Amino acid sequence: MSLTSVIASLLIAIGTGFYLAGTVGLLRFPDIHSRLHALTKADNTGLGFLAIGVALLSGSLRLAVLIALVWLLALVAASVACHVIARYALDKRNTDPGPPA
Amino acid sequence: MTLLDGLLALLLLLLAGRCVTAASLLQAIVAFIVLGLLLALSWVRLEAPDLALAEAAIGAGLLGVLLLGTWRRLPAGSGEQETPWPWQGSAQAIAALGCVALAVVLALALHETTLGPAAAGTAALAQLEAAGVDQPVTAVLLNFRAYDTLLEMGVLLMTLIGTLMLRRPLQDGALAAPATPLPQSLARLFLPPILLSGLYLVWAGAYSPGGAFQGGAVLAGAGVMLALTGLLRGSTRDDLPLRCLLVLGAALFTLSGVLLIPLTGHFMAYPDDLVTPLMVLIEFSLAISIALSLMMLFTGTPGLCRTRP
Repeated sequence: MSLTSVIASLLIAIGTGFYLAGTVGLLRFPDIHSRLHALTKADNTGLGFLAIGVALLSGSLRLAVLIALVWLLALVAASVACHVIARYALDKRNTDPGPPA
Repeated sequence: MTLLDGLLALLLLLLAGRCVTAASLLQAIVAFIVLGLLLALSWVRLEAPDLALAEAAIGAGLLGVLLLGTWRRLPAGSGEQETPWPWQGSAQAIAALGCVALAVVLALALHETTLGPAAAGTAALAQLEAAGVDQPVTAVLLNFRAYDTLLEMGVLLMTLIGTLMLRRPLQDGALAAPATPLPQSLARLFLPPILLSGLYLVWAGAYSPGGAFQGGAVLAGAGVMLALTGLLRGSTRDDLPLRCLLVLGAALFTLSGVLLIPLTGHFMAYPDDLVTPLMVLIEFSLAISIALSLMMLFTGTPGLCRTRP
């Protein structure tokens, strides 16, 4: 087992750790905004670590650049999706105040 | 990797069960989309990347969008009531029995099937030189079994026509303008890379996994993104050029099959020196028709138009 694959495995393990934390947050946090917080932060970083690990394992510059591009696109899309969901939840709460606390 | 495969198979079964026993329609749809993604992963494990691409793009992506769109247009509350356990109604019991019987028969048939030395796959691989493309799957789809693919295009067209007659189109108000400009900027930013990867997938079908169906589905996804962000909307006005593009794939496929009969003597046989350009031409025209059909299944309108800013 070469040094590269050890480092790559470590990065992938860290990445899946972030995914695990994000999933636990999504399931356990009380409201939509804190769930989004857990999910997007953890998933973006998790995907980043996974991407670096897989790129190291691939051992090819072309594949590494492609993986980086995929990560970048996923990052932008996830941020916008998070923003849209949070905005929707905020608008819904403002128009529909619900039972007085 | 046996552990991973076993886990994948178990998850597939659990998700399939979840699809039919979920308490609400929305949960069932979400389970179905996840099922599609895992199914794509299992095609990868079975070393069938063509099927994996098609399943991810059509099964998990577009079908999920269509199901969610349908769900949103259902009257509020319908389908949300507690569904009884599957084998309480007699109709459901019969359907369940039928599914089990089919599964048993399929398993038996698969068990009985033996791959002889003259199996179709071996014969196709041996004839690959004559097919005009390097990718065996594309060669089978567009050349060796071109008739099947032509009929599939007919089925897709019929489905679209039936859908357009039966369902109400997405009205202008149905897709409310998003409250933030971000999704539209995202769509503008993502459109070029999505179009590029869709066209690449179609082109790649000639020598590597990909092809008209996978590329067409990705292109349709770009259209759905534009419709969802309000940059493009369905129009109830009939559009002749659009209709021509919808039948382009089937028409060109049939025409090239018929017009070349004098040269080759057979329907849908291609002369050797023309076969590669013909394959590429047919592949791209099929992709255009597939992309537009899938997209208009989503908008449910006979026409499309740009939204004026």
